[in-house]
Amino acid sequence: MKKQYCTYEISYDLKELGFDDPCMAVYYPNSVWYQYSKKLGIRNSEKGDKTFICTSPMWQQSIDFIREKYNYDIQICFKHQDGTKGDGKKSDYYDINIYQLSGGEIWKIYNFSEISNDFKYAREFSILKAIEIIKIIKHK
Amino acid sequence: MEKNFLPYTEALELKILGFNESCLAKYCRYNPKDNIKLFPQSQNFFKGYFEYCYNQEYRKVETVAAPLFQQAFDWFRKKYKFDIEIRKGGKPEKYMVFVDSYIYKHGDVELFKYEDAKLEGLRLLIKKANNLVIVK
Repeated sequence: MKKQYCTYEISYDLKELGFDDPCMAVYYPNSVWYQYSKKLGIRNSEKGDKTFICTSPMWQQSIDFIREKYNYDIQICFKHQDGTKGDGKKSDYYDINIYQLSGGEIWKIYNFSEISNDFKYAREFSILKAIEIIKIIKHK
Repeated sequence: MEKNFLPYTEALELKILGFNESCLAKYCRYNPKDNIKLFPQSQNFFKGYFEYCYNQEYRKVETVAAPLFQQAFDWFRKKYKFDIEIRKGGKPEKYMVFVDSYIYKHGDVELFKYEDAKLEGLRLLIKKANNLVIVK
């Protein structure tokens, strides 16, 4: 089930960026991952348990957070190497577009081509890139 | 947190399609008078491990494992090789749904809010999978 959650690196960065949505798991020191039972929400700001380092969001939660809080829309696009589209076959590779939105409209596009033929790798890569872009812009 | 899980109707559709992966929650009711609700998985304190929710363990038809949206999309990708994309539409805060490079509704592009686009995409995947089952 751990594969449904972001890595420690991403979880920590998201906390630094203000992520405080409810999660079902947390990271303790030394990247020890722990999943809660019977609870649908632990927040980074929660004071009940001070020993955890950060909450562990699911992949979709991190993408939603980046879009909702920072207006960066992550899109993982599939392509077929032979140029055909819609043939129903497995994608040959994934492209990543990160759209910077302004007033809900596209302001700027960051494109990363032919990242991987593995969706999960492409998803992790896209979140790391979005975090990198946000950090750069925040420090400007 | 609940918004990350499939609604009951779509979770039931996935159960019918054969989805049986471990889930973090399930839909059920403990009292016949209650409405069906989402319940998180529990930890067995005696055995020391989580008791995840699996469809095959539920005798009652109405009790259904609740997958996350990301789990459902991964499952369709793995089992049917169906890919889904939620792309930004031309209008503010509006999105389009693509399945296997086909835009949803040719010639009459429908735009949705992000959360609605995700649900619409999921319904389209279910419809596609159901069509495959019928053809077979």
